[in-house]
Amino acid sequence: MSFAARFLALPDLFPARPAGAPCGDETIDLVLPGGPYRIQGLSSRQSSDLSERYGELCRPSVARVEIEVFEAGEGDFVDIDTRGWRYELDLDHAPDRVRIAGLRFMAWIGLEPRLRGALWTSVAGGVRWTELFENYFRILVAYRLLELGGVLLHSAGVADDEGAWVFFGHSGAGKTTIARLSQESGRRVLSDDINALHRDGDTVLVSKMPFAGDLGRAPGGFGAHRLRGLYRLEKGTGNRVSPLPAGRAVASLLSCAPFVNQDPHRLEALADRLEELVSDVSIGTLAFDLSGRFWSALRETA
Amino acid sequence: MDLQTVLRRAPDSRYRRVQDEGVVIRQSTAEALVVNELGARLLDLIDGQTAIEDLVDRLEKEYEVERSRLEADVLAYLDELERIGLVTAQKD
Repeated sequence: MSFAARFLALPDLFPARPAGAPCGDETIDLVLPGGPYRIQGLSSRQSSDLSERYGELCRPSVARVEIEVFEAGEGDFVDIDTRGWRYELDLDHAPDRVRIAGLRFMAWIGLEPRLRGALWTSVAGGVRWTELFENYFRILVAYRLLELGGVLLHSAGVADDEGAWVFFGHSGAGKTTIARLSQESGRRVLSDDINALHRDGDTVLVSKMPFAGDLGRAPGGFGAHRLRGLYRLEKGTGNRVSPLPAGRAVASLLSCAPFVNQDPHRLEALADRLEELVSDVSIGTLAFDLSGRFWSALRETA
Repeated sequence: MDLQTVLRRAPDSRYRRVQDEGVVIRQSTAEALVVNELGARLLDLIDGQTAIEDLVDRLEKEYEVERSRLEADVLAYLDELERIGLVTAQKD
């Protein structure tokens, strides 16, 4: 099936450039790693829904990335019965842009000469609006972080007084379990699903993202933390940190870097950034049990 | 596949050395695979022009191993790389 045919009534008419009638004249700024991001062309309801969704992250700023929101007609989209349906966005990658189609929206991320975004939707507000916006926005953030030498990583992020510890791995690797154990030991969970690793000069920082998993949905805590250690999770008995050879580390991290790792035009750049990351930080494999004593093993090696 | 076969890397794969390991990135499937030192060295040498026998000649100078065993190991390893689609036989 050709790109967007599942979602758009006329996929060949996917907008060639960011243009159209804005949904309204409101603007909000989201202050997140890689940003601030300015979302403009919002209706009053769309703006207030995003403000409610992202809370303290919404504040007037000097934007570095702009996203325009345009109105689309209901008839532009295919009616889909979503019962028992697995939702996956449709993406089309090119060297200079990414096109995205989903439920009641189509979107674009321009990568040259500067990163910017555009979103067309028929959804005027409510949960459907904030969900579709987030489905798009986190892809755009992944590209922006990569552009700046960082990465969005499927991981559990945990912060304490010394900085942040990041545990990565696929679904079922134990991210939520290790986050819960860390929370029980008095540490703060950034997210048990997705975290941003980004750079400030030579320092690698970790930030909670608003795309939290089951844990880490508590409000606040969006400041950046210095990365203390990066660990691939491995199920095992006992608590043990093992070396993770650089090649395996790059390959493992690449498989946990969502969105950009599906883009054939960005894989090389992603591998470059991960190779730099692996050479700059403490990285290993962590096997852990449910006693919570893995922290001792980490401290001995970090 | 035999010693006269000429191999080339799969066109959708990108290969890099990361310290002692080789990392192969397959763009069509967005996979990253790690190969060991022998695999990395073989991927270094595969150029779409050199027969496997000549690859073995090069490796024989680098590894202290009996020729017959090296040939068997290299063929077995390349068979595996071909099976997972990282290399393909060069057609004339």
